[in-house]
Amino acid sequence: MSQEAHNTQGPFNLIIAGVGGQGSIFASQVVAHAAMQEGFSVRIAETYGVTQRGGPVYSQVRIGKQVYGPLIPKGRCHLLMGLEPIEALRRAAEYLAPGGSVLINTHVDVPLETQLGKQPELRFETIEQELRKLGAGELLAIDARALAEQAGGAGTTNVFMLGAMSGFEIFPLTYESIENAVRDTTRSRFLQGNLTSLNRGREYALAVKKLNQNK
Amino acid sequence: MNREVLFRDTPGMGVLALGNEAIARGAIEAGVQFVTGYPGTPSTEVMETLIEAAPELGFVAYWSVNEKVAFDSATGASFSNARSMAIMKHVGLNVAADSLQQVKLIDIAGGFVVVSVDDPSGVSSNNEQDNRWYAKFAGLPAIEPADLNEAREMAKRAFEISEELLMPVILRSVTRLGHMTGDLELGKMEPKGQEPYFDSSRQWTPFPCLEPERRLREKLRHAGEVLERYQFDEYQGKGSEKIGVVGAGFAFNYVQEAVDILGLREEVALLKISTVNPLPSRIIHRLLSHVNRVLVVEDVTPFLEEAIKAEAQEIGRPIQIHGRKSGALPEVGETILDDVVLALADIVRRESPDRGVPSDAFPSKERAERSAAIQKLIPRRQIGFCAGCSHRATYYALTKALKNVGIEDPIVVGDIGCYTLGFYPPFSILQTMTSMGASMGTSNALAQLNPSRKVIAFIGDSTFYHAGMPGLLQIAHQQRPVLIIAMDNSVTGSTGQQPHPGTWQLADERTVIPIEDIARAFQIPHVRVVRSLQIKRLIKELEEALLLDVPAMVVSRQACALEPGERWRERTVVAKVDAAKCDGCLVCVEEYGCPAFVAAEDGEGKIAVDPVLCNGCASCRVVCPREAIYLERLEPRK
Repeated sequence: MSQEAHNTQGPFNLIIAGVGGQGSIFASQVVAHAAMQEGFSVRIAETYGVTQRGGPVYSQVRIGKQVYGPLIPKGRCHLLMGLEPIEALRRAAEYLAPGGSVLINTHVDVPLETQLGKQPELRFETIEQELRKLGAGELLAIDARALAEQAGGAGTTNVFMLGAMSGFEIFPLTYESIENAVRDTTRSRFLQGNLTSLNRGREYALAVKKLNQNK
Repeated sequence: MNREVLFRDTPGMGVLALGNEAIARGAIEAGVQFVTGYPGTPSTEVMETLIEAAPELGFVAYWSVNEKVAFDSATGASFSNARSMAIMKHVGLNVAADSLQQVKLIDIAGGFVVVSVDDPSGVSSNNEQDNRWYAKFAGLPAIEPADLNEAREMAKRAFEISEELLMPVILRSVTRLGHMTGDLELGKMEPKGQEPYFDSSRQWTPFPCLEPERRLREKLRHAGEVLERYQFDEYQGKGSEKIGVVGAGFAFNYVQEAVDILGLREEVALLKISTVNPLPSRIIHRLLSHVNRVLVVEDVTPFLEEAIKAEAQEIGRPIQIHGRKSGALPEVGETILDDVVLALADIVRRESPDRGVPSDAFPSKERAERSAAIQKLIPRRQIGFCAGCSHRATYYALTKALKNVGIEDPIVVGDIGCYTLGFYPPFSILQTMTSMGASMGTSNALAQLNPSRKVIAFIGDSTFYHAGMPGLLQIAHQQRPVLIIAMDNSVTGSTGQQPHPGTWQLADERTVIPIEDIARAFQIPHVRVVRSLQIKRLIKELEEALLLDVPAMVVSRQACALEPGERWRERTVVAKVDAAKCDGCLVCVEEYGCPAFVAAEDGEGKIAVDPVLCNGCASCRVVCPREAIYLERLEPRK
């Protein structure tokens, strides 16, 4: 969705989904800082407290000229960033807009009960299929955890995916403002790792795009 | 997040802030002199922000042991003519309510603001509770903000209102606002008030009671005029609309968006009600004077719906009032936009059957069915303890100790904190849990009435100091043979690692009062302290304590894995699984369930440890029957 389009149709709605501890809150804060730099109003809804430990978490981020509440209406999410694919599908089922973009990490975090054989496994291929059936526009899957590990460290998967989101051009804010936002929000100890992953994420997406264009 | 921008006098500046931070900023702008509270999601960040600001801005801010102590302390500050604030989550006000119901009757001195953050849907609570009723019950003025700028402004103005009316003012917020991040415009910081001074020439008590009760009612009548001056409530309409939509505080956001989605801007009149008590009758009558139907959107209970219905009856013209009570909106659970869109569309259909609504206003039936089908495919993801959490080790040790001594039908009582996860797999061991500190009194009676069974009570450190001590005194006084396991992780863990009187990390700055010293002073005959992650020793201690016929306490102590010292501690070891020894029995997962245990990549059903998630606590070695878990030393970081 282009920037002009989302200004006329209400806020741009982004969901960042994952498992507690993957840094979805941090990623949403980065996006919010970037949006503010570009003069947009922004609202984020997230869940805090004991509910997040190891459990499903997601942040809803809304960017626009005027935004009321932070909650995205069902079926109106323009971009879903899945730090974990099962969690991405969980939110997509409810929120993904027809033609909305999806960027997912391919690394599945297998729930405990699945490990114990108490509930069936949900394979990545099935997740992809279901996302397509939901009418996802762009569906981009990257092995972000492994790629981030080689870039700024395994803890930077969230930032790597922000870089990729920018490189794939599925997001209305500029790479520069995201990079500035990462600088503004990262503790100095982790800054170098985050910047490396952000940049590699973008480069990776650009390379994939080029490859697909040449096909 | 960097909160320092909230501490500077830069009016007009735009910053990114949480709703709770906006409330804190409002208090700062009002020149608050004294703040205290007890941590509780979703209110915690109000206090955290103020504690951070206090040294720089020169006011008093600290965590109290419970909400009643917080409220009483803020009362003392107000009596000393200081602007004071007491901050708590919805259920916290229950603890402070005894004092609230007295202080309301006294002419206070310094502005006194009580912040109550309610938790619709009980996202981080056992109940939904609508604290607007407290305002009505006590007869105190209350206001609720609709957005970040209002949160800041209302928190600031609440002090003035309190000083004008000489009564505490309740500022009600909700989780969705408290934990919403957005752009906030800073206001001007007012100069700090006078040096606190307690006037001994007055009596600060509501005695005898009838005169203060009369005066309270007088003040509340006057409060309506005072609050109206602030124009917290807002009417948007032409005076000819047949449908009105009312939003209470934060819920007004859903009203605005629902109206936009349905394209009804020009056809419905809107009313934002931020004055909770006393009800702003004048502006409500303005809406009721021309509408046939009203939809009331509000969180938790039909507080406003009932009040508007009563007002409508005075109009003498039939007006349909829709909301949570009428069934137009769900009776329980947080207000969500989608429900408001549906309810409003339905009202439009009833009022003007010919007026269509946009086809894309809600998901199609086909889409709804697909969503439901997908939800069935998606596995549950059980929440569990963090890697390195001491509670896991403690529950594991008790499970083993019970088995070793042959106790098969214990009664296991829980309390409030992260350890309530003991209700869930892999432990599923807790059987009761009600309110803060209740494990003590409840286990006391369970032990008396079930003499043939062992009663075990779990209580966290912060919960023990908060409301567990009187109950322990009761157990000690009656020498009831309860085994109390104090889960002492040195901080109030579930709300974000706030300190309390047992936080030994602060021993240089404050007097630390360990739980075991209190238990011994209370004459609990058997008190032991064990490091939680030393599981073998913990099992032995628990075995011994389980067989006693007197009150016993085992303090299982280990700093919360998220406590700053622990969280940023450099790991020296990481757990590994020897694939040659692991036979895929899954005992580690079934009995210990650390999130760092993952399926090994060989696909043969063996287990591995995720090196990113492992926090190097080293406790899991004892759980593997094949001794396949070992520790690998990590190179020190350069």
